Amino acid sequence: MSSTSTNRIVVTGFGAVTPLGLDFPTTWQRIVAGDDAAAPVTAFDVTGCRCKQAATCSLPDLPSLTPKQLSRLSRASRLALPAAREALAEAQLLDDHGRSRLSQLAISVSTTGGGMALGEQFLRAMLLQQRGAGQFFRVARYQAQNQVHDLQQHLGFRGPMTIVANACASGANAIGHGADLIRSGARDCVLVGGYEALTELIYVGFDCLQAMSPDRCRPFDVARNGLMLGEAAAFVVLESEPHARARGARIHCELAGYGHGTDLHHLTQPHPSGATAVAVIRQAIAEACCGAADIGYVNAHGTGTPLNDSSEGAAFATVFGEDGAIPARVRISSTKAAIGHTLGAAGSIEALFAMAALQSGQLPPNLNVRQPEPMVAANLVAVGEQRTDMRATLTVNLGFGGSNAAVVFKRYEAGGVRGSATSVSKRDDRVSVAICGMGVVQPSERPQRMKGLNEASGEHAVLCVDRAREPLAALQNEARVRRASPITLFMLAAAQQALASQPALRRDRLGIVAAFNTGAVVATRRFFEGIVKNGQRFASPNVFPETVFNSPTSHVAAVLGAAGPCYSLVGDDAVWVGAIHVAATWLENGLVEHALVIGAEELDPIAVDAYAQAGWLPPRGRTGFVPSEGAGALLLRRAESKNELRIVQLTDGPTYRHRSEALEAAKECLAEFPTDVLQCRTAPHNWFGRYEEQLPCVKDVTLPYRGDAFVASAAWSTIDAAELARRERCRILLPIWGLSGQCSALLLATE
Amino acid sequence: MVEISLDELKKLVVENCVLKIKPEEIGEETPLFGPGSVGLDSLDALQLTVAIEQQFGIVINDAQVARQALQSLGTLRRWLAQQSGPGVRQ
Repeated sequence: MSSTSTNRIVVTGFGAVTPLGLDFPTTWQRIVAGDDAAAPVTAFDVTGCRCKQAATCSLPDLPSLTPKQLSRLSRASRLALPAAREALAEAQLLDDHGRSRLSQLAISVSTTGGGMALGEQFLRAMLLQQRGAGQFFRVARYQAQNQVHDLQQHLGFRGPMTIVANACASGANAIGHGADLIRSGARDCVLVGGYEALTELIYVGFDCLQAMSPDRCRPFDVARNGLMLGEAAAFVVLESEPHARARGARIHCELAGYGHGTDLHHLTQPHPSGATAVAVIRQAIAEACCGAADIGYVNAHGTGTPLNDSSEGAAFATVFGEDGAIPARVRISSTKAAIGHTLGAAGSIEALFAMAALQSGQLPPNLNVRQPEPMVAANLVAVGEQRTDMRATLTVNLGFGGSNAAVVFKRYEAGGVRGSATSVSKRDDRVSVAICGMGVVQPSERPQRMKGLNEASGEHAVLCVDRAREPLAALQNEARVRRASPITLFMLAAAQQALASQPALRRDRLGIVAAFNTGAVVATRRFFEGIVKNGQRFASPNVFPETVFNSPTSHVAAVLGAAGPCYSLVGDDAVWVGAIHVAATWLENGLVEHALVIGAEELDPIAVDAYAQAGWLPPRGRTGFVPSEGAGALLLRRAESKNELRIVQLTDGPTYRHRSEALEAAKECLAEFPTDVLQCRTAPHNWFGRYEEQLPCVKDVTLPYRGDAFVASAAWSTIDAAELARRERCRILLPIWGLSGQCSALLLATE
Repeated sequence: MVEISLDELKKLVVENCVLKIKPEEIGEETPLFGPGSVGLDSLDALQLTVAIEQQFGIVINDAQVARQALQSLGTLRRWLAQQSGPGVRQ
């Protein structure tokens, strides 16, 4: 993929809320001046922690919201909303009422915690046997898709959402995915970014890993002793060049290259050589059609931990080194000593710094260095440095679970073609991928009873996977997954089934896209339960990494030896189609030869509490909602002939805010699909059953029901429909109803 | 002096490190880390320092001390025996 005049991606707006400022200009002014935001944590109690400081944001005023609207926003949304608004305003995409001029606008965002502070309040209350008002609100509002719904509601747009939860590299992945959508022609304008609000669970997690500095974060200092956590939100408007030029947008720079891959070395440690970082940086530079010598400034991941900075320094030496040293013209800084490690927002805010450096010539300094690491000693940016002759800048993020990503920005030089700009961002739903393997881990048919943690939640019928049966029993002896949440075993078993028919495929060209709604909820409950019962001091270092959304995906990649890119996506059932869309984009771009798409969920007593508090279970629940767990996996490759079983069309979106709007959203979702096909019913057991009956279709079929397991259910339905399509040699339309606000659909075909 | 039985330490390691072996399969001098070992990693080392503090009240703050003490169950038992009791700070 190269950036030619017809498929260039340009940046037309950016905005941020950071610990250094409530908008990007303030943040930039302070960061280049050498300010830092380290301060004692006051958002929650840290008495039992080894460390006590972080970089936290002041919450911006949101005068356009009513007090009631404001009270419904999580801290995460309070940070994300003004940052996204600033980006859209800067791109001149807001009207006089502060609403998006693009009524349909795709969004690709990243976070690691979502609105976890609300989730923590829910968990604590359940564990302490409390009941009372607000529990439904908390459980209904903590998940990441709710923050995206908040952005859509208050900024006035709808459209598909992609939420990347690839830990510390997520922000770069969210930007890169937005670029992929534009480059592939699926979209011509995407709002991309990341947000992270500091929460107790994550703070205590890093504290128990002893990954935080007890005094000062000193990236690339030989005596560095840990990171400083932070919180932020940062958004960018990406557009195809023709779209931006047609509407006369001011273009800041070009997003010229994106590289991403997975370091399989260890869940929490990078390979000492930084080999994967080298590969993704080179991938990004090659895609940008420039050379390493063109990169004038690098915003490094630079966490300030001993292992990250040495591995990253080694990677820089490999990529930029000449005669054994990195030339002094390559300026490098980590900005994490100033604003902290903002996790899901890090890739986005640091991309903004790389773009602003390119535009302004000012460079953000690497603070707190007393004795620099020899490898980068000649390259670290000091306060006040300027460099106006740069052609390109680079940002690098190296995450938990081995998620590595790099993005290259280039100066924009006009020359491309003009296109057309409409009020609806373009949508192209056609794909052509062949299904060459499938795998299912499903629950036992006989329901069992599971109690909630809170006595008031009672005991309810659930459908559980029998973990003692093969192949799950044998997988538990796999060293890499011995600490993992059960969802990892489900995913691994489903993936191995899907791969069984293709034993010779190249694992180095295999990518994985996993999608979850609740994710590793067992580990999350166990970790937080430890904090509540034993105190922060005794939080478990062995459990915390397993709470991170992308840990299961990373384990699966490591056990399978899948060295291609890995994404972990979060959303409701409908995110399944988004995951297939990501895989289709990778296949189309030639990034991978095969892609595994895995949907998975696991059950835990806290999930029973959540569903009981939400009123989904008897005696209040009037639907047949039965909590369930398991996984489904598809192995995909580019389609070669019409005789193959293929996915030929998909729509991930649109979103809706209330369940009563789901029917209209589903009709909109299905509008572009053919009607003379067999249409599946997937929701006869829940709220959407009555809507499903109202969808226009010629002939329908009801698929088997294995309980409600969100993304896993969507995967199972796809596999059932695929087998039917193969057997009957027909086209099958599969609508997927997301339980928290999104519809999606896909069309299977074989001839 | 803190007298701790080998069986107690075996149980502590197997439970905290989620090992899929029986406690009796770990020998007193079997290395805990590295080649030919039980197969623990840096996360397990942190987990064991937390568990030791929680169970015996003995804090290991120094990474070098942790590396020495956690070579095997034998080194751990001898190191714990040298500590003067719950609440000791290293």
